[in-house]
Amino acid sequence: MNQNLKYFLFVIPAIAYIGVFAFFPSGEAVYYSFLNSQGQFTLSNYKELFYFNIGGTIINTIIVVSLALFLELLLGLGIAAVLTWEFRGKKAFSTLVIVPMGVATVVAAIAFSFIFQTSGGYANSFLKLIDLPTFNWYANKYISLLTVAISDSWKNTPIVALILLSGMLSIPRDLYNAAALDGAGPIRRFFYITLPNLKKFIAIALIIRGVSEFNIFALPLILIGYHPSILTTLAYDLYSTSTIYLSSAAAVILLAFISVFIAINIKLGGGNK
Amino acid sequence: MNKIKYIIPIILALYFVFPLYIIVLIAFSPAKYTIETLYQPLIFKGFTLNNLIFAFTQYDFIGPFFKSLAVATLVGVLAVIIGIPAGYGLSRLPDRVAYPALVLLLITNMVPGLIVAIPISAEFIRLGLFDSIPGLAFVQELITLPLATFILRGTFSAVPREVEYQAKIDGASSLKYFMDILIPVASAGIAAAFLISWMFSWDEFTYAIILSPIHPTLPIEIYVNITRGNLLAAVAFALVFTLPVIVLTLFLQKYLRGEYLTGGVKA
Amino acid sequence: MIQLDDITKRYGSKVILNGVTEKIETGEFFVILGPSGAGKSTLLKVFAGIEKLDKGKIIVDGKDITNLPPEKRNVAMVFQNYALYPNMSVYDNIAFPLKVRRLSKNKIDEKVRNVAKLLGISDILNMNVTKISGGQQQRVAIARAIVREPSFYLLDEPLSNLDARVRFVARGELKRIQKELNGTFIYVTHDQKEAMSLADRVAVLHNGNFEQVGKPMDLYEFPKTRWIGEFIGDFPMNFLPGKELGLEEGIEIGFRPEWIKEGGELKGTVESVEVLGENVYAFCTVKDYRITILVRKTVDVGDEITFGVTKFRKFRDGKLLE
Repeated sequence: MNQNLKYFLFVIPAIAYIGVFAFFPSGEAVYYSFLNSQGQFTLSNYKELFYFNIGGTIINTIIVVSLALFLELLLGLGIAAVLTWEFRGKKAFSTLVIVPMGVATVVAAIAFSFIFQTSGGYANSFLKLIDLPTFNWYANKYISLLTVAISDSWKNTPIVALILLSGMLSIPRDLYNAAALDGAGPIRRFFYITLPNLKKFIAIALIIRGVSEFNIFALPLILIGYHPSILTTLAYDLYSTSTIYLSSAAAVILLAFISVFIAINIKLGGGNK
Repeated sequence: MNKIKYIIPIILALYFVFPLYIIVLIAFSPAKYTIETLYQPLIFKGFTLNNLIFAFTQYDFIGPFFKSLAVATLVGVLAVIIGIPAGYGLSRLPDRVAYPALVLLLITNMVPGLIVAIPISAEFIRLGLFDSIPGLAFVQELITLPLATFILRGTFSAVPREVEYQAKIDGASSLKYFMDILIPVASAGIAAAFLISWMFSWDEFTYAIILSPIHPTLPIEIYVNITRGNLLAAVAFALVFTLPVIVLTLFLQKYLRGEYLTGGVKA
Repeated sequence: MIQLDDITKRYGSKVILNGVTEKIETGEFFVILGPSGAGKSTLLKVFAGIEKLDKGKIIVDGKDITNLPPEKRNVAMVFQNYALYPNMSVYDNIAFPLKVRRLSKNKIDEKVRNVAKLLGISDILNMNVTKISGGQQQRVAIARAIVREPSFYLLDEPLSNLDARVRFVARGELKRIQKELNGTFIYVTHDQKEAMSLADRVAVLHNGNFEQVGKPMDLYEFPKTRWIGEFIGDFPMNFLPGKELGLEEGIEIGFRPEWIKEGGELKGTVESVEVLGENVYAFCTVKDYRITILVRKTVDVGDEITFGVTKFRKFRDGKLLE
């Protein structure tokens, strides 16, 4: 017991660090969100947020998060599956697919701002090349959000793929052999063995990415600015043009959504056990 | 079926390389083939270094570059200094004590950057840390400290406890055990923790834009150039900015595994 | 001489060591034998100073070392997994305890080379310890332990990670080294063959205490308790109620499989057979009791067999009667 106390002392600096730099400011943000510029308690910050279309912003955020998660999961499953195959050049492939992890969000954002444009741009050049009609990638707010989700999923799919891969590798090969002997083809094997056994890993990937997805900021800021806003860009907009109190209120709403998201996931995860 | 085994990986690989290819294409092509045309060609129609020369002579690259370098290095150093004891302690504690601590660290990673950055900007202005190198590094540390701690915990867990007992029995003090045995054995993990922290800081955007807007880091400088319409400068900077990180990512491939990314959570 | 006095160790409410008391002579090869989970390793850690005692004293050559930390005890230890320093060469591993003691470079070199010669590892001194075989690692661990002159040596199943043939040779070597050094070896194992072939005395650890301490042959011939009779030996000692042999009520008799003659007053049915070279062990049931006997002829499952007990020990309430 004494021994454990000694080891715990080693951990205290790290815990104290995050206490000072993460939990203290978060508490402060909640506190600020209930103050007016005279330092009095008020709910007006939250009321004022409605003037900035907070409802629509929340819906936009949920749309981007859901789309991005869907794309990342789909592509991630594909890549992880390919990484379980044996083929020549597998090593090169596994190296290439993690490259986006090393690309800064800003850089990805620039690249995609050249790829997706209202008219022209590299995506449309490509569509023209294969004789397909070109497309306005910012035609309305839903398409804009989809464009953001596609760009974001490019950068973050590798993480999802790596998590899912470690899940796929943990499934005993005997299960597949047994299923194959029982006459199940590759597609059946995927749906009856791979997917059910990956549940936990999919859940972990969803939690980790989901939380980060709520926080995406640089990418929407550069690609679509505030048209439309999501919670992060709204908070930043308010921070740079309005008061710290109002922007704190927007940030607190973001925190609330993330907390709910985590809570739902924990609840669902607990139900699985 | 055999053909699919090659076609699918090739399509996926092309998809993941394409945006970077675009950056390279724009950086080295004459502007008339890129930003000055509506439907740009997807291949090189010409080659020029003028874009890069123009960007690096006309816009400030050195200032942001050194700021980024200093902040990232400080973040890496802090991650190692705080992460080594934490990782060691967690590797030796029983799971029932270590787990809550790990969860706490993991939750920190889930706190939105903006909710930390906005109130801290006010504190930093008061403390004189606003726009400073240490100020930004202290806050960016939040993202990398949990990750560094997980990596180091894994590394130290691989060193059997008996080795520590043995060193004691052989007459070594705790300090000597740390310096002569534990740290050298864990050197690869420590280097990885440093480099990954360095990399995260190098790429970080949210804290940087709020806490260091006047003397920006490179990502912010690139963003500013986009908003001002200096697209070729942004592309040139982005290219130079990205190269070291891609090299590091490939170098650290071994450590960017599911286990670490999930924060050591066992499924 | 090492005196253990009422050594008591608890983890929470679980008592691991319950008042162990014993004297170990200088130069003795003392083996602590017990099933896994009996607390053997804990006892060794107590000797080393890695685990703190809840109660009791350890006195070495008249000096109380109970509360000394490991680095001040001057003991040497060989762990089951050898605990070699993975960042160092073989040479540096062996030299480490001497470096810590700030011996001169020349002195260290001389000692390391002598020990390496003794253990036959002179030619791998510059190799990395992660690149050598298990047998070599075990020698390096022993070399590191004997390179200095500790007051006693602790060995925690150092042979268990070796494959069977290497282990047999290593056993003999270990005994030779111990004799050459005339060192006090405290050796923990769960393998009774190892205990029997190495020990001057064996202590059987059971329920947190030494249930019996004695010469290997004594343990086999005169197990102090029924539990030890069943634990020691390739086959457990056989037990039958005394009245089967016409003894008084409440007495149990215990006999080894070879303490019998064929033909006699007891009759059993063969349930299974194990052949070990010339020896055939027959597992039979004698009136609901399971008995193992050594027979000289071939028997088959289902055969009826009669035998008589030539030598036995008397037990009452699981304890040997003198």
